[in-house]
Amino acid sequence: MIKDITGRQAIVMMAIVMCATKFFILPSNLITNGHQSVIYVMLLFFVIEFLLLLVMVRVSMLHPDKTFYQLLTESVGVVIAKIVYLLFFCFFIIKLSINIIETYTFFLGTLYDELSSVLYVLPILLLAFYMTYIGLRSIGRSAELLWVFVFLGLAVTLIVAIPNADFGYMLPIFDGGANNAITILSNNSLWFGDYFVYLFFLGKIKFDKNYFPKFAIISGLVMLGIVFFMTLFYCIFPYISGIVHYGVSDITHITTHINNIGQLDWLNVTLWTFASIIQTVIFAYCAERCLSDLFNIKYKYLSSSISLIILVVVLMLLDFRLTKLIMFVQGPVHFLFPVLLVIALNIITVHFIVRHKEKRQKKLAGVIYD
Amino acid sequence: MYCFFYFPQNNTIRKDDLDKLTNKEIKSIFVDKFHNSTDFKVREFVSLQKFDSILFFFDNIVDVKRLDKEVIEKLMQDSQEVAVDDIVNYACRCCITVGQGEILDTVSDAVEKLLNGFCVLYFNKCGKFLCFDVKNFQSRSIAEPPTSAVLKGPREGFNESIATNIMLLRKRLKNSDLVISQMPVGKYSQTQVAIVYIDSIASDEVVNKVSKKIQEIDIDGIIDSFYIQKALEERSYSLFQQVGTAEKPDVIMSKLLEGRVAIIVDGSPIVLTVPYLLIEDLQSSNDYYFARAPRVTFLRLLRMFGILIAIYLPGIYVAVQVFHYKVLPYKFLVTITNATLGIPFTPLVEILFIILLFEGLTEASLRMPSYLGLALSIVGALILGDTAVNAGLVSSPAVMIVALTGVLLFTVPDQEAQLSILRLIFTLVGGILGLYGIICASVFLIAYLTNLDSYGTPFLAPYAPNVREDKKDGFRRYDLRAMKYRPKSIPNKNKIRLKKL
Repeated sequence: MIKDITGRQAIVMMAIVMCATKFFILPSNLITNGHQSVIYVMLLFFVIEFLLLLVMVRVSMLHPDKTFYQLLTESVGVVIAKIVYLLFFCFFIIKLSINIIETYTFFLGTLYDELSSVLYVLPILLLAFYMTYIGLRSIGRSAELLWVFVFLGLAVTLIVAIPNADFGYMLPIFDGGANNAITILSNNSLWFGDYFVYLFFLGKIKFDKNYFPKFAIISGLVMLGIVFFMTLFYCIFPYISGIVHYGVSDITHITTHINNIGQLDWLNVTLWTFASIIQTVIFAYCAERCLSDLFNIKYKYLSSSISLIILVVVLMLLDFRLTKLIMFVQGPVHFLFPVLLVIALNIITVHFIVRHKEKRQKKLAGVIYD
Repeated sequence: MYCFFYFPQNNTIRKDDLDKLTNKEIKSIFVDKFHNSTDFKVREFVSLQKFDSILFFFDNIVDVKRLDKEVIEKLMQDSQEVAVDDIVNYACRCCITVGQGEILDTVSDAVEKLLNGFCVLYFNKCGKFLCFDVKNFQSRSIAEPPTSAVLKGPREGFNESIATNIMLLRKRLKNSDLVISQMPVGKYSQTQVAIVYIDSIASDEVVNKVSKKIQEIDIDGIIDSFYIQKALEERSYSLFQQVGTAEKPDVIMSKLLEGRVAIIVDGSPIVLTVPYLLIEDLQSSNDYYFARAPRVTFLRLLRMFGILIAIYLPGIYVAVQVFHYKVLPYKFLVTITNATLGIPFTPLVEILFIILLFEGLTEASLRMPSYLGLALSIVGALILGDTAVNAGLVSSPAVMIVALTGVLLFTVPDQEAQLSILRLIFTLVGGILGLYGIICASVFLIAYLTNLDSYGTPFLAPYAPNVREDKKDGFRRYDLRAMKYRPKSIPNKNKIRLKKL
């Protein structure tokens, strides 16, 4: 098995994927109705995601030479594996739609007065096709090169925004009601679950020394960073968060004490665009992998083109409108995330049961023959 | 088993027949072979006072004085009694005093030697040729190369002679592991190409790959090392070169010590090296000779920022003017607006016009005789630039931006050609799609570069993929004592290069 990416590259890609589009429209979307209680529920949500991700990492380390598809077929059979892959394909196409429409809306609101959706979507699709075609190795290396700029952007955002925040707004805990927060989060669950992409890195990672603790620390910090960003956002715009749509831009835009050095939000937007593009490319890669294994397509350009054509059709159906996208994500397809969550949990459980049995059998055989 | 020799005149000679040929017949074979070329000389004389001998050489490429004194004079004056069968051996071992001599069995070998500056001697009906190296190829003296001057450090540079260039390397690397493997390339030119490496350091895989690629070349002539460079590149249509170049022996020596393989081509002062990393072009000889590590780090970062400004600034300027004018602070926006007021062109056309003007001036200055340089500067800078601004055709900020980027392109001279193309691309993208387009194009460029490999070495190493140890000589340069290991990115057999300093 050719190891396309290093452990460091896997960590960097995961870090970018997990946070890239969570700072655009999502903060406003979540906090408008749920207030600060959403942030506390999200923290719990992230704890579950974090644990699930760590289990995935452990599985990948136990089977360093097996891809997710191989693991699936071995544990649950080809038919179920294909069904799971089909669900994952739909998941990634929806994630790509969310990513592209959200970023397009974000650009329209911040960078441009006018931007044709065709002109916007064409470069990103070409880029996704090219990078998917050249493979994970190049995506990993590009992410490794760009992560500095992306996290520099995040650090600047947080540092600059802190003086404007009044953290008193975070109290009392669960002011808006925990149930309400859980409902809001589950309605927007397709904005989460980015860590599923890790499954498609399985068998392709050349593990570095101390990979597991490094992964745990970085992904934990990224999740905390997202929660901290949401907290800052709420504490800066406690009552008007519903009309402040572009989190990462607006949070620095209102910062008065840096006005003398220019509009820092533009720099921030530019840096975050890198993250968004890398995330799009990784999702496109995962969709291509799903399609390729689903129909045994040998030519990358073919599977990549088909998945991107399907994406274009979905984008056209959604008419490139954020409102339609939100309705779609909160309506007919919001079941997808919980389903995949359950599938992932089941697969992991089955894997550990099988592995435990194998170990036990080997141990018994060792006792008998020794 | 017979060996056949082909001659254009359709006369085929069997190897066994060579000893039956008289001097006259041999002479006609060679004269015909070289089509009665006037610089091809034939000298007949009597050796050891009884053997009719014939000497072939090219007039302008051999040292005639040496030939007279060390070959002809010795053979004519010697009177030793020698049997016909022993004449060749005797002449070679006891008579002729030229350092490098060789006995040849075939006409084609003799022809090859003649073309390489040897003289060829034939004794009547003896069946063998004797050749001696008396070549006298004129070459430029060793001087400091104009493209890589140093403030403090070695000033020797390669010249067009392969012998001189190998000598310069041998002088620096006095080790039996320094291997030089020479071969002729080019059907007509038969240019000597030498593969140079340190056997105990360089990877066999890289050496074999380079050797195979050079042996596979089938071309009329190798005019410059650039021809070999094209053959060595794994993606020869790429915008970026994948083979390193240097004009100084100290640079090549340091690269050989890192495990690279050097290729010297006769007739070219440019020596090639593989594997090649993009970061190599950000490193300069000066960085290693006199500057302290923090200063070098500063200079390398400066070069890097220079490159980024050079390729991005015109594109960003156009994008900001066309799409994102709100990005500018108010006072800055007013200044730019005032400066661009009344300009008849769009920002993209304006910048492209000035870039093309600048590129034209650069090209003209390279080709124009040096005594016209001052006139060109006056025409270019004062008349074209100043008048165009005063006439309201172009704005001062646009001229300033293009001039600044034009200068900054030369912070990394080896990448200037590629960078100027990138500047043009990013300007176009910025004008059509704005900042979003520039970001997409940047990611595309990065993806493309990360996908490039040079003989198993990632092009963007040690940054993508990250190689921690190699970063000690990256943008941030560590002290020499910290660089104990050879670069991991470059395949090599021996990891440690410094044990104590």
